Amino acid sequence: MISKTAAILAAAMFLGGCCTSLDHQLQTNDRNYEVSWSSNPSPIPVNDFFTLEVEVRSDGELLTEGELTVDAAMPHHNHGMNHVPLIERTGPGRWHVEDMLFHMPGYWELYFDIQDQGVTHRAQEPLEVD
Amino acid sequence: MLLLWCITALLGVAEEELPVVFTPTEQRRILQHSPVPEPPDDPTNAWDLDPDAANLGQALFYDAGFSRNGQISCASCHGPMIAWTDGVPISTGMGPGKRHSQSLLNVAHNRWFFWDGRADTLWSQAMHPVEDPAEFDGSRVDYVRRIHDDPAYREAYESVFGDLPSMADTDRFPPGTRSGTPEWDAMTEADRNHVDRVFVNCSKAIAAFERELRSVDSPFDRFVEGLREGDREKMTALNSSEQRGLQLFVGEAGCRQCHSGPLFTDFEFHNIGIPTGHGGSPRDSGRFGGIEFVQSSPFSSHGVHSDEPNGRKARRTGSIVKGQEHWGSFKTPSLRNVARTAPYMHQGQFGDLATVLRFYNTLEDMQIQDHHQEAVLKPLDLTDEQLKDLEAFLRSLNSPLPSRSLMGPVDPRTGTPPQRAKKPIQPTSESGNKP
Repeated sequence: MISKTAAILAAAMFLGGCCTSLDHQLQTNDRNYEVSWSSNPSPIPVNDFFTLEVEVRSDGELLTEGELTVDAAMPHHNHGMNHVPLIERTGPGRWHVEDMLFHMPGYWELYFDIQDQGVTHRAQEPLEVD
Repeated sequence: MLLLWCITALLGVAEEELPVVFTPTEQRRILQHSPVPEPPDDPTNAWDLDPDAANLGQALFYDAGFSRNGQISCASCHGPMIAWTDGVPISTGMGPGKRHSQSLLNVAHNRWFFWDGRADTLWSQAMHPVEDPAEFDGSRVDYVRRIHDDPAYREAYESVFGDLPSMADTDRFPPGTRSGTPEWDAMTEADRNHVDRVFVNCSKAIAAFERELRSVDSPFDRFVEGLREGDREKMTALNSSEQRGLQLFVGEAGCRQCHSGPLFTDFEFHNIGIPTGHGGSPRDSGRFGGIEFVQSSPFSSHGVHSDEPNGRKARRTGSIVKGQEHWGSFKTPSLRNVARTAPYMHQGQFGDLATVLRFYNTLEDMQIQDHHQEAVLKPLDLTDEQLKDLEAFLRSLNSPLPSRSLMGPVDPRTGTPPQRAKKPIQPTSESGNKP
């Protein structure tokens, strides 16, 4: 029997997946937003700059308000990236991110922080870069 | 075991020469280290690929006439016969330096220059030694005057960069004037800009020369070719010990955490707890100070002397994250030709490769930081045999050195070696018979 939470998550993931060509979908930790993203190149290379395309939706609709920040860290190393990425809004709920660099191989966490109506909502993705 | 012994005995192969079997993950990682691509273009230097600029740069590189005592040149600390380094722990120019001289082989691949990354372009790096009291202890006004007054330099400079305005007026251009002095500040802004422009252009010429210092075709690269092509003959470029060392490098020893990619470096900065030599926490700020410098320097990629001040390089210099973890951190050196560039670390703390590997193996005397250190750094606990294999692999990263034509002074106009004074030939009975 599928729990109610799992059903909502599955529906949200379906909505996220149905409306985007981006190949990663996840939810904010509070389940209020769906974040989709792709990297170029893909998969993310070790120690080469890469870009991200990001979409953020709420209830399946692209976010018309709000801001996005993107960051990443290697929790086991106690450090993050060496540059602040450049984030440009390209349309409602869509952002292009430059200057991403995972300078070491290993376990990284990629963070998407959505600031909407005075509240920050985080989605995070674990990544093994090798 | 007996059967294995019999087989190896029959084949005439010692047991230690058995081929190393690499897992798919190891193979994928190994392929990331070769081949070495062309160095990236430097859009902040419009003369980066200009051969005439490189000729001028080579002449400047080997010329000791820009130092205060006329005896120090770039080649003094970056000598071509010692893999473009100087072989001593701390380099000395006109005075004692603070750090070890890094090799210039493959230098154009770097993102940052100096151990602390305080320069973000190769040309801005080349400017620093001229007025540093520990290096040339010279002055940029004298530097530009010499380019102006020397007919060969003047012709070479003007053919690449255009006319040189007169430097004859010593009131406008006081001899011995270096930046940051009252004499420099008393010069008009236009005259200061003129001196800086010529000084920068000469540094861009030196960068064009240094770009040619490549050394990339090692036995390891031939092995990787073989691995990629399934050619076992090429893979014999590494013997069994070197292959076992390679396996450790991409696996158990974790070297590729920082020494990644074809240049065996991530081009970034780490604090690995090297003993400071003076006890206590590091006094050398390393990258922490380097970030401050590179972001504020007018000669960085975002400055007026850059040929792309609004480009990607400039933006990335402006967006560096500065944190406490950068105190005492230093740039990961390339491991290509590493066996030629002893001693090692930013102050030459370790005299040979075996000592470096022993440090990583035990972390004995590791400097525990008040600030951040690489939390993942743990003693490797490798056996003596494994350490020998790892060292053998590192030695397989030696490549043929750059062309001899790059290893000495040249005429700045032509790039040809200076004419040697010809001795009159005294004919002997033997030589006199030759046609």
